[in-house]
Amino acid sequence: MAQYEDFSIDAGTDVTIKLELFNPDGSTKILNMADSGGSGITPKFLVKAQAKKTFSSTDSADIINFTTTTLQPGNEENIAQISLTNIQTASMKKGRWVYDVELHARDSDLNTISIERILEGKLTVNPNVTTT
Amino acid sequence: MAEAIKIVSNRTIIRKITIGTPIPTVKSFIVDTNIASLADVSATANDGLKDGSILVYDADISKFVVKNVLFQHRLDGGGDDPAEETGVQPNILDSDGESGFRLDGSTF
Repeated sequence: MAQYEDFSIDAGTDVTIKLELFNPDGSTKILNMADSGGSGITPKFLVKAQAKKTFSSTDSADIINFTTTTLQPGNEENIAQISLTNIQTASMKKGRWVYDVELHARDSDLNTISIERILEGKLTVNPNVTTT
Repeated sequence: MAEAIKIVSNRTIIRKITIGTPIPTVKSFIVDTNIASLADVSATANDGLKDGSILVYDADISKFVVKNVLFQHRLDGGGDDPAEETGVQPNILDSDGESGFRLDGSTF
């Protein structure tokens, strides 16, 4: 079962959440692999994260996609980062949302994609009061 | 062949979650278009601003200052530099007989 964490964010602000990932045996989870020639990096895992107003929301206004990366900052090997821009958080309806974060990995047979939900919870969007 | 999707669990532990400091949205900012506001320009009314004023760099104070007199300038007419051929500079002399301006080029 995925870990659970609730977040509270301010509407109209940039939000970045860094997740430090480990394997069950305590070793760091390597999210990217250097190419054999050393000329680049191949992701071992793809991070996907989405927030919805409710679990069953289908309206595009009620669905927000996080920008995700496993390469920032500083190419730390076990850091996944999910973020929302201030434009996105300003457009979100105020109140409670639900979210989860998934790790996608292609299995060695290359025909199977493993999806693991690593984090889930509620995301509360706080509206601003003072206006110009 | 379509890819199969397998849901897995308990393969990853999150030990630390860091939330970035929210950065307020910048909705507008003011750009000062007054040249006198630049740090290396001294050009206030007290500096003698008047018609024809120009900014000239003053190395003593490391700033551009207001001047109405050209000093240490060279006007190049586009011709050959006579000094290269004759070693003589066609100078315009000031009242003290000292070189005030130098005009280069065969025609003006």
